[in-house]
Amino acid sequence: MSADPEFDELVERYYRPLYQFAFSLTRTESDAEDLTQQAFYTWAAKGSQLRDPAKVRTWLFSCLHHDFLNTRRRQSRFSHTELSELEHVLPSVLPAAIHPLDAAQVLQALADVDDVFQAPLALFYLEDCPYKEIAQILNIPIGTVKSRLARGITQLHRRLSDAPTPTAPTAPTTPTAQKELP
Amino acid sequence: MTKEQAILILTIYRPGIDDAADPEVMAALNLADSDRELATWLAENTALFEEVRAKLKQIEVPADGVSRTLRGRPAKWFLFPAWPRAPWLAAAAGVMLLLGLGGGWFWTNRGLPHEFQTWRSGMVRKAMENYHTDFATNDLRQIREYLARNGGHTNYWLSPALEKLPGDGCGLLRWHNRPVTMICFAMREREDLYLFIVDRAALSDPPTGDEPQFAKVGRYTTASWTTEDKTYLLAGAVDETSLRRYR
Repeated sequence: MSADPEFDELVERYYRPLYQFAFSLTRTESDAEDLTQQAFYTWAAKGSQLRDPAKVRTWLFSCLHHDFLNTRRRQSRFSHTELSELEHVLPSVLPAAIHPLDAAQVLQALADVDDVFQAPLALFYLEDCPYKEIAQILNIPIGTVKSRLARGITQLHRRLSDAPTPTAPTAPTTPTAQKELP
Repeated sequence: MTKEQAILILTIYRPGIDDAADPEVMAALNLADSDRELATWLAENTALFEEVRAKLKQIEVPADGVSRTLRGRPAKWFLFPAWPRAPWLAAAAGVMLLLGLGGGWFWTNRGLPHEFQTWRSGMVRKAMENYHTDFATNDLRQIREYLARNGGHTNYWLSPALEKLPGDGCGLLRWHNRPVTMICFAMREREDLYLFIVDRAALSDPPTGDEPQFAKVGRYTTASWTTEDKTYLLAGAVDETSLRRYR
């Protein structure tokens, strides 16, 4: 049993969001669990260096993401683009064209978007993180966060619109909707 | 603001979370107020955001995850072994520890110059790890300003080709107690290029002259040269021909 109430409280409070973030990146329970535990243990060893308690969440997510990249050797060095440069990749799928979803489909669609967009998207959806905090967690400029989110959402919507209807798997396939934007 | 610009901004806008008072968001929302199609699209986009968020939040968490994490926490004694109870023994152990730490520190920080090859390998290792930059920006001017404010190298030279690349950030590193400046350059669809700068005096055998010496270190190609009082190391997961373009 742990004798450190601060540590216990931290684990109680952040286990769920950290695990969900880890799972959205790894899609494997054991990997997600390992990453989550490791983030807490790193905090136990180094967390005292953190002077601002308000940044614990950012620190934990950043630590987990860093470990994830190290584990997978997925380099996070991709081109950086500003949001204003992205008009050519405007979403081509109308949100309404996407049928009701189930959780597995959303996870699969998230897995299918480019690696570089997955972590920003997971933080965007799961954690209500402001862009600035996402930038701090992923250690990239805020402009890059916005552009990755815009491109990632566009890809995600496309994958979701391609996904089969979850409620009626035997029904005729819903035609892939690629309607024009308004 | 055009409708396309508004869509781009509103694609990543989360009502109630993101700042609706941001001028760009405000302009996009105003446009949506006066454009029925855009308003419909926004409502659908917001609904889809909520739906995706709700589904992701359904990711099941192991029921015993918290308790296992608490049980598995490395015990503190692992970091701080039990101290001898006898006062004289504790004092002796303390002295030995201090001597050991002091000797180790002295050995590694004697201020003597170190071999260039060791430095190069160390820096390439840094590049191959997932670096954590101290300051992330695409703006090379801001990187220079950050370095000036924080004790990094400032009057460094960048080739015109490097000047044209967007930055990715910079880091202030220590190597054998010597400051090393790391500047990262973003390459489209490729891994970053890294420029490391160290005082020439920190190395016992720095590359002589301005002409770059190329070497392969792991999967990285490196170019190193010395200009005035600084030694530079440019490293990237590219071939020599590509790297030559940036030197």
